[in-house]
Amino acid sequence: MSTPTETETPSETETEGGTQLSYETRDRLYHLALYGSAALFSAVILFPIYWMIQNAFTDSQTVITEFSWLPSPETVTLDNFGVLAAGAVPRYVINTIVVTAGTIAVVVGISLVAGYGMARFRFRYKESFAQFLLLGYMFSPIVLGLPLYLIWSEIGLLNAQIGLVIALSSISMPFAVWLMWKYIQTIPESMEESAWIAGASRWRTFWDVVVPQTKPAIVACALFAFAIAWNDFTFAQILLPSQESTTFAPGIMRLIDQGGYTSWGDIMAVSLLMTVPPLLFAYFLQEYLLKGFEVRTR
Amino acid sequence: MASETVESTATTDRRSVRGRLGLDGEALRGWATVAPVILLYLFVAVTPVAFAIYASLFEVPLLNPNWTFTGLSNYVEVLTMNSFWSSLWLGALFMIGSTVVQLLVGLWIALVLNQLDRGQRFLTAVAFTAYLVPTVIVVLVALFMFDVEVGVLHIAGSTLGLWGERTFALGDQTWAMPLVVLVGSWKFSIFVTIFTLAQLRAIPDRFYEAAKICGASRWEMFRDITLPRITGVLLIAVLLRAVFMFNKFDIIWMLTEGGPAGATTTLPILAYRTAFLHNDYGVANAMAVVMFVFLAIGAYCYFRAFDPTAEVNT
Amino acid sequence: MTVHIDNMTRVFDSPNADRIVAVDELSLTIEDGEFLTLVGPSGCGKTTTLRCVAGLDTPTAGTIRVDDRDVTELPPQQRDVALLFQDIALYPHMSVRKNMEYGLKIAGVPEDERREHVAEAAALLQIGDQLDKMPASLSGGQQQRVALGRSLVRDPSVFLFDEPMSDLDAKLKRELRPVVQRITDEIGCPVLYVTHDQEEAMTMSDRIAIMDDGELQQAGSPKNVYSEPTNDFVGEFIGQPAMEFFDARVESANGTAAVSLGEHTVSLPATAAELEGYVDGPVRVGVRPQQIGIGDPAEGIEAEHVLDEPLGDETHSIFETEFGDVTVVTHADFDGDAETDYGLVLDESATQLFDPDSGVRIH
Repeated sequence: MSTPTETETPSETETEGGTQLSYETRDRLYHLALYGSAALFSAVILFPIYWMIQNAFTDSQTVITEFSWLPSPETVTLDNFGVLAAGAVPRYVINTIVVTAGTIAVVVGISLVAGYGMARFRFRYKESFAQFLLLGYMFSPIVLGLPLYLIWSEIGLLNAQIGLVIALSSISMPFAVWLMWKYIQTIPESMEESAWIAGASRWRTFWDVVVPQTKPAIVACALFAFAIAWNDFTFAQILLPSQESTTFAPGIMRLIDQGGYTSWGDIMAVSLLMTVPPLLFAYFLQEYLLKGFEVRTR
Repeated sequence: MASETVESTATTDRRSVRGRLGLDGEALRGWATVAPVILLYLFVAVTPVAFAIYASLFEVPLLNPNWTFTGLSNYVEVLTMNSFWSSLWLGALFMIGSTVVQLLVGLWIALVLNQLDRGQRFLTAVAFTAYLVPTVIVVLVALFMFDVEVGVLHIAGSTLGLWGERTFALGDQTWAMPLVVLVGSWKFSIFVTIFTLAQLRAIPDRFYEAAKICGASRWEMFRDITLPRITGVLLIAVLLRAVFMFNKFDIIWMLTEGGPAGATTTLPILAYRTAFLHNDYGVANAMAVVMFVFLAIGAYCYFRAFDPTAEVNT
Repeated sequence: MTVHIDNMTRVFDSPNADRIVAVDELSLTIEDGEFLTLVGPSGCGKTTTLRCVAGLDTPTAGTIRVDDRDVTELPPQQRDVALLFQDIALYPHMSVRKNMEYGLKIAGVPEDERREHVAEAAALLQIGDQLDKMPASLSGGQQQRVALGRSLVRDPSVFLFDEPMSDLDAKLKRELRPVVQRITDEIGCPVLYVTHDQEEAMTMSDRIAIMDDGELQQAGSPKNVYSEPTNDFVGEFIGQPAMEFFDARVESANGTAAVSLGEHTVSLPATAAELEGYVDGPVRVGVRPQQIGIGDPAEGIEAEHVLDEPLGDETHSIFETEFGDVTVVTHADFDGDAETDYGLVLDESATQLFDPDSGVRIH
């Protein structure tokens, strides 16, 4: 690895004596650039979040009339969060929670069983199946959503949240199944065998021995499914056209579209509330998340 | 394939010896465990694609149950449509612009993160936060920030003279596309960072130490050690980003609904509009099929660049 | 309980290569209360045999019976066996107590009874104070004690061990061996112990069965297989350091037989009649390194000293001869010298003759 560097060295030392800056100056510049970049990125990423938070807590009238960089004590209020108590927004939020919970349950349940089967049973075409699964990375909600619209409406799943759960679960499958498969492979088979010998059935062993040890993968899959469902707009927009059943993203966009809804204070308040759960989950479960990414990027 | 079989030789059942057909008890149980996944895929992936191909051969008014078989005329219509070619062009613009921005920013963040001695945890948390904010929230905050009355970015832009005081930047012919690209990249650049960072951290320190002893400069170390090690991963990230961005619907639709005057109407937006606003479901499905073909090409490249069997063998 | 293995064969299908015969027509009986050790090099089929007895694998042909009950096709859940795994296989998410009582819980034994059994077993294994710890916080030796306890509380009708000590260091092994023996005596059921370590086999077993390449080579008491190996494989595998072999020829004169090893001749206690068929032909002579003496080059096989491995109470000295390197167990104070010419003197009464082709012992 160091061979190319070695060949470069002579030319480097030649120029260094003459025109180039001293080592200390270059080092200082480098650190300036490094920490400057870090500060820049932090600012660009954090400012919109700060802006959302600040305005979520600012009197909604002030939000649309005055402009201020900092919150002022007179205008700080919790009133904007009242948006969760009335109108259509609470229904959208609840629908989102229902769909997300359903997706997590379906994804974890199905991928756990499938991952176990792939790790423990020998069957032909298993690897082809796994590759076929990876194709799922390529599915796009819009390509699938358009045809699904008519199919779902034919079989009565249009406007049914279960229909959205099914669609979202499918696109979560490649990640979830691969993760479970790879993870369960790392659990020694002898633990299960030991339980069988002790008299436990295969199913009981699965529950008593495999599932408890698969916790990190379960959490990672659940988080992944959560992110997919919580983030989804396209599928919900197409598959839940009615106002009663739809989730937060299409719901609020339609409200804004219809023109009547430009209370930015309210919108920022509910935006903040919708942002908190993913941040909390990611924060408290970061160890599991990292494990998940490890298995995936390996 | 090989490693899998070798690894389980010791534990093979005789059932697999008996059932030469490959459908012995063990294989049946194995298939049973993955059956729900297959069902889901059939239901949500295979059927829709087949259905789209089928529907693309008909004239399908959405609210009318009577389909009229029109053969390939939907495709002819699509390919002769001006809006198709313009949205293909805009889609390509959006895809390339987004991918380039996300690659550069994402890689830059990854390199900075990898080099920081202090504040690394903080910046990691910040970067991940952007990825975790739901797309709709990114859009809502962006819409708020570009609001013509009180939008902070709107005011900043008009003060700098980028756009007029009464111009809604996201509704401006020139600015809509670049802004959509930038808003999307705010969220998705971190994807490249996550991909790259794992690989960067896997480069052993001794490589850099060895280079330092040889007197290599930082740039030389980056060029000769870091870059060759992350090229593979970057390639995959770029490919995935390009495919995802080509198919991106949500962020564009929520920000602009394809406007103004079609300035951000990429292929997915056009297909959606055709189906649900122009009520021409057959043509929309023809577009979906065209997009699917692009996806398939992307998938093919993905599998060539990133051999999944290699992953099985690890 | 008695375990009968009759003509058991296990064939694995391999997709790339030919079929692999892991166990070939093995017949073996483990008497009630007997400690039988299955020993052999890795890949000899011993673990496959054990897994078939446990029900984790099913023989391709042949039967396994426990007393009169045919268990060949029974799943492991219905066999009432205990198995100690090489990787110990404690459940990492359960405490030591939960680990030990898991089998009883499955069997539906009530809670207080379970506690009692666990406490008894823990006392016997001296892990009473570890019961509420998690397995990961225990040392390897303690973990293996817990695994033993887990089997002990179930009072199994057959006890199986799959190289349970191969991951432990030498000191721990010596410490655990008596524990294992005490536990198995306590239960008093047939014990099948699989290991590749002949020392473990010799020290613990009532009987040793040596396997090679899927076939049973010999079964007998440790002393018996050591002193009367049926073939050169057993001779070489059992005993430390391994038996030395020399290619030789049988010569007879006046009804007495002798073998010549190159220039050197060793007279044998056997008569020419006893060596019928081998007279004037090649044989392999096997001698244990303990039964080779060091003398003048004139007295024995000419040898050059290569190195000494002092073990304290004795020394293993390696010599180079025309037959290759030969290990000799020498006196603790022995200090070889490369300049000196030595002669290796075989103890004539301790030599064993093997057929040069089949390896079967002749005499």
